[in-house]
Amino acid sequence: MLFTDAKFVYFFLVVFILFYLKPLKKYQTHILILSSLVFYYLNSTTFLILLLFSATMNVVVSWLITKSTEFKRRKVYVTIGITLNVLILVFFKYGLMVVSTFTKETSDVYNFFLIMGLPIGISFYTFEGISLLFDTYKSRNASNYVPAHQNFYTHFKDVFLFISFFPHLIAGPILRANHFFPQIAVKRFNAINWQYCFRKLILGYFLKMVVANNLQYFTVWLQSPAMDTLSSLTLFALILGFTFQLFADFAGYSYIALGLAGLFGYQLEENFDYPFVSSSLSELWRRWHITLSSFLRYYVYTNLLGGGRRGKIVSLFNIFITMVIAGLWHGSKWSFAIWGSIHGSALVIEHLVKKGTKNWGFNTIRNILGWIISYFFVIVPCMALFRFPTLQGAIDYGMLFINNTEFKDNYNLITYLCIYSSPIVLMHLLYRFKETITVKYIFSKAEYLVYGPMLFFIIINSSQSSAFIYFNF
Amino acid sequence: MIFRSVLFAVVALALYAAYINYGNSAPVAQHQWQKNIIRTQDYVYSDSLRKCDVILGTSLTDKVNADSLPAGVYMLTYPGFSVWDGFEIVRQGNGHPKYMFVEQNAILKPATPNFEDYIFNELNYYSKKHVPILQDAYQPVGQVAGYINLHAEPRIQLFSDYLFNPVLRVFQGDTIKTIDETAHYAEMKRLRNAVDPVMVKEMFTKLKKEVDWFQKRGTKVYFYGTPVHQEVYSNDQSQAIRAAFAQYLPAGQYHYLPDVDIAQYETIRDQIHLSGKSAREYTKVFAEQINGARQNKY
Repeated sequence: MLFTDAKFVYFFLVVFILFYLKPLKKYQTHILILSSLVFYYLNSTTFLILLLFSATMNVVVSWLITKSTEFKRRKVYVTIGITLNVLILVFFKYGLMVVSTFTKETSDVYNFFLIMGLPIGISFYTFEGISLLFDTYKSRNASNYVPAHQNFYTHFKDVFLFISFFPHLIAGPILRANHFFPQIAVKRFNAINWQYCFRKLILGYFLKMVVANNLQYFTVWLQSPAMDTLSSLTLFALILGFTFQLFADFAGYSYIALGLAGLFGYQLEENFDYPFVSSSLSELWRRWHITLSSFLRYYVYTNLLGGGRRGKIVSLFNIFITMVIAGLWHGSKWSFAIWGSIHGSALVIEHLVKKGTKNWGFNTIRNILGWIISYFFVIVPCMALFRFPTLQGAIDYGMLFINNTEFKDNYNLITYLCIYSSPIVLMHLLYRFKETITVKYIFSKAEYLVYGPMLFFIIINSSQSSAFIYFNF
Repeated sequence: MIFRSVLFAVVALALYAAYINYGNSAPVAQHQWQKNIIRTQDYVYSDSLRKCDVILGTSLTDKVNADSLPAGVYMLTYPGFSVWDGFEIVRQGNGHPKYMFVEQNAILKPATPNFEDYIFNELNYYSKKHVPILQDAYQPVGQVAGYINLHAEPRIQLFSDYLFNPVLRVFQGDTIKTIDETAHYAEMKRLRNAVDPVMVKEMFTKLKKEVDWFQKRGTKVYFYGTPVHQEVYSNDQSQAIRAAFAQYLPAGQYHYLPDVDIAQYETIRDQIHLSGKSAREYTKVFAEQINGARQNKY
């Protein structure tokens, strides 16, 4: 059951009405947990058991950390808890990748992992579990720690809601415990910020149903043998179209999640901040999948690897390792590790170049150059590693792109790709020129000129719903 | 803001409905997937089409020229989809064909996920049935794309010929390399020779049930195979399919159109789709066979 399915509308309405019914007010958390588990079951059936296990384990470990009076013991608990989370992730997500590297496709172990499949949302709820344990440990060790007078049952409910809350459960945004927990309280219907929810939902559904769902029927050409006879320009338009599709798909999901959570009185963290205006790779990673980037920056780069505390060279090496982990987080294939390595290397080079040229001036030219190099030499070419299921597929694409200059361009395909990508370009242009009088006027006095057309297109130009791409991660 | 946005959308819808009804609009399919959807929506929303005889097939049958077939036959042939989608559409769409012609070649390909749900979920089905401008054939992007394409084409060509391709050619080197087609061919051959007996059993048990259900309702079901390359015809999968038809749906109890001589036809590079010329020839034969079936010759 996707956010874009008709069934979801009924599901949501039932949950929403129950949630705000006066007699059920004190059961609001229960209603959200139960509906989230039903939602997960409808998407992933038997893997619900894994979600329950993971959430329960995090409840118990975080409780032990909170209640323990000895620093050493807390350290043992947090280590065990995080290790268990990582082991669950490695076993269920990377088992097949590891096994396929060392055994044949006919082996029983390989078949076991193949049949088992990937539990939906595992990367998201495992990371949230890690965040919970680490944040609890950090705050418990803080000198200004004030013990919360909470019984185990309340703690259990809060943690379960944090991990399983259905708007973010399957594809994020990745929640941070210290941002979500303070929001858990009784919610009132008249406290809903309708305008905020309307903006997020309309933008989210527009990006997913109109842009991403339509683009997918054109980018489907990015596979052999269909792409073998396409011209270089058509292939370029296709990979650019896929980049926009990926953005629209994931940003669409994130905005819908924000809007839905807002209807229950919760504010989730923003996941996207107009990434295509970034003039460098490091800026891009502050604007694209923000909750993952900040998770990796805080927990992996700073706290696990030590960040920049051990000198410049180690710091650059840590950036590289963090990006390889970011690559592997996206998928259990070696091609994702390569994708991460390329991004990591590019980030290291960018840091060195920026440091060496910081006094040169010409900031505008440098920003434009940075934008061109980041997008056309790193991000867009690397999308081939995202798009193709095998490394060979990505290599084939690269070869065809360079060499198919003699083939005739497919004008029809290019036109449609441009039309469906244009809203993404337009929204970034509006953001880029947000300080101009016209854009300021639109967003302060005439927002309906933005959301009205989007609503019109959702009604009349949506395409068949399909699974969100990030469900695979 | 919310009220004004909704009002804007409602007014835009009203204006667009006026354009579709009174303006110079025509149904447009933007891509193959949408062609399949439009073909299906035309079928399920039309009382007269639902009484027509139907052909359930894939892209293999879609090569046949629909205009040259006998009157009263509707092609529910879906490139990229499956014959099973056709069965679902006729069943859920409450179609009452007197004759149903089912392609045999790709019978093992399962139904397309979410396709039936998109057509028949209550929100889509009733809104698109009663408000035709909401049907996929009238999407605004499809309506303007032709116009944009006309103007974009020379500009794209200019950009491609004078800027994009010359820059790329710098990186090409002396010899233009192409990808290893033999690897594709080997993979294609491997997939086409793969047979999963459990799947075959499952599919044919389901097929028998499906066919029996239609025959009980008074529909006469005929199976036929489109001509393919000799190599495909004799591969393991094709042989397994023919054997399963003989086992689960034996001739005598079930109906088959006569086999065609595959040596008379030529296919394109993929060895399964007919070339333009052969498709025209096969259309004539297929049309005759349909007429014959309607006269209970087979």
